[in-house]
Amino acid sequence: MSAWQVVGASVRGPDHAREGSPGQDAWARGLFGGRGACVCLCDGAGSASHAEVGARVVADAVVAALAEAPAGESAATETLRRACAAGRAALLQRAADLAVAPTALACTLVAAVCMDGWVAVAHLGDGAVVGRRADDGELALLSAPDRGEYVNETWFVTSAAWATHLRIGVHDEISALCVVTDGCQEASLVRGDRGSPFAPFFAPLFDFTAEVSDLAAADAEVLRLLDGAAMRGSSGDDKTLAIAWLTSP
Amino acid sequence: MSALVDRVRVNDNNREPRQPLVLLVDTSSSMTNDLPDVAAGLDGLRGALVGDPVARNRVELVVVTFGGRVTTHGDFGEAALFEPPPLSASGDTPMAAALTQALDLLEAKKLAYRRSGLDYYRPLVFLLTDGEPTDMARWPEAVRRVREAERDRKLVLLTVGTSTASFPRLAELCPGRVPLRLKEAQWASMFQWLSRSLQARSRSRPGDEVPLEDPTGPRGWGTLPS
Repeated sequence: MSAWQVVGASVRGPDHAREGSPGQDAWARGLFGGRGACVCLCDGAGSASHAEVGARVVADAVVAALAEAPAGESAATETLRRACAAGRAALLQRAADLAVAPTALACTLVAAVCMDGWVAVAHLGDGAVVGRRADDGELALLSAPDRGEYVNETWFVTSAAWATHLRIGVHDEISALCVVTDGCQEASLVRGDRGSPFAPFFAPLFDFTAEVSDLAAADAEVLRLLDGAAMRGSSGDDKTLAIAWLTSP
Repeated sequence: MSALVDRVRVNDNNREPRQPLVLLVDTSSSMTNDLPDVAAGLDGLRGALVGDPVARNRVELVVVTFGGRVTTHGDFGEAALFEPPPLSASGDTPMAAALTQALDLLEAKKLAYRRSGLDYYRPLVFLLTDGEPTDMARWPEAVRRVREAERDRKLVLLTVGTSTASFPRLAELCPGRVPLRLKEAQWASMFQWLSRSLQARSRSRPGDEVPLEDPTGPRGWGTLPS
């Protein structure tokens, strides 16, 4: 029985729905080290022809690799790096199978592992991870969106310099975290130099975890949030959001 | 408990990212007959941007004229507030000084964006001319700076000449992108194309390519210089 639980959902953005194109976000969740959990969110590049395939392949491969990995905190950085490399290898293999260039499957990646007392986050590109501190319940931006100088540029799993742009951080005393893709950024962060969590967005989400008894019902609640009028109005992009929390401290 | 969707509040206070644009307009004396069309084009550009709910708050533009001397008309302003300046033709063609001015304006603007925490798109510089630079002493330095800025992805420079323009000179500015030759009296189409390009760019998201609609197609406003 895992001490961590994960709920989440992914919706196709109104812009993609209008264009008749597929949703290009994907996410996956799994167990980690017996008592922990892992999650991976990927956002396919808008201009990549097979972005939705790339996002799906990477999310699944990263979670599969993490589920098999050692769970010690000292090895967390290396564990995440290897899982991300496995995700990239799976993408390259799928591109070869489809006989397309890897960039046709370009996507970003945010992966997190959650254990008793610590969490670790690997992040390539945009999207964000916000944590709740175990001691005082304060919100903390654990990983900020990363991009080039311009607002419409970011880094992808397929970028040549992906390993340079992959950021991995280990954080102690985090009792819950929320991972979002780019489509949720406008709604959930306060724009600025690095950005900061918008508390009226995240606080109700973390409070919500205390009431969850049925994971499928909770997933459906998140789906309704992402597909609600406020979120649709905030961005026409695909949106994915996952929350992980420690149930038995 | 109420539904999650009713409890979570969405931040709608973030300020829009900006798309800066510098319009460099040749107002040397030979432009006399073209300027009414350019002025009408600027007005059409204003109208198209104001009518676009996204572009009106994101595109920020400034007009710099070069005819006898270089004049910057006001500061960068949101398209919603843009007023096309009156244009009158006189003097020679200080194109090098105008390009240098555009680069300086953009560097200052980007610094201001960063200081106020605003995100921005790669700036555009759009140069219109019917001739060639007359400030040749400053030209090599202007070419060097423009090329360096393009190489460092600091901006995108698009140059458009009428049939009398010196295309070899314009080509010196951007080795990777050919200058375009405006078809006879196609100013209106060109400005409409610019509006559409700005509208598309100002909506783009990470990973989107923003291909410019090909202006040299059969119904386009431009041709490649021979």
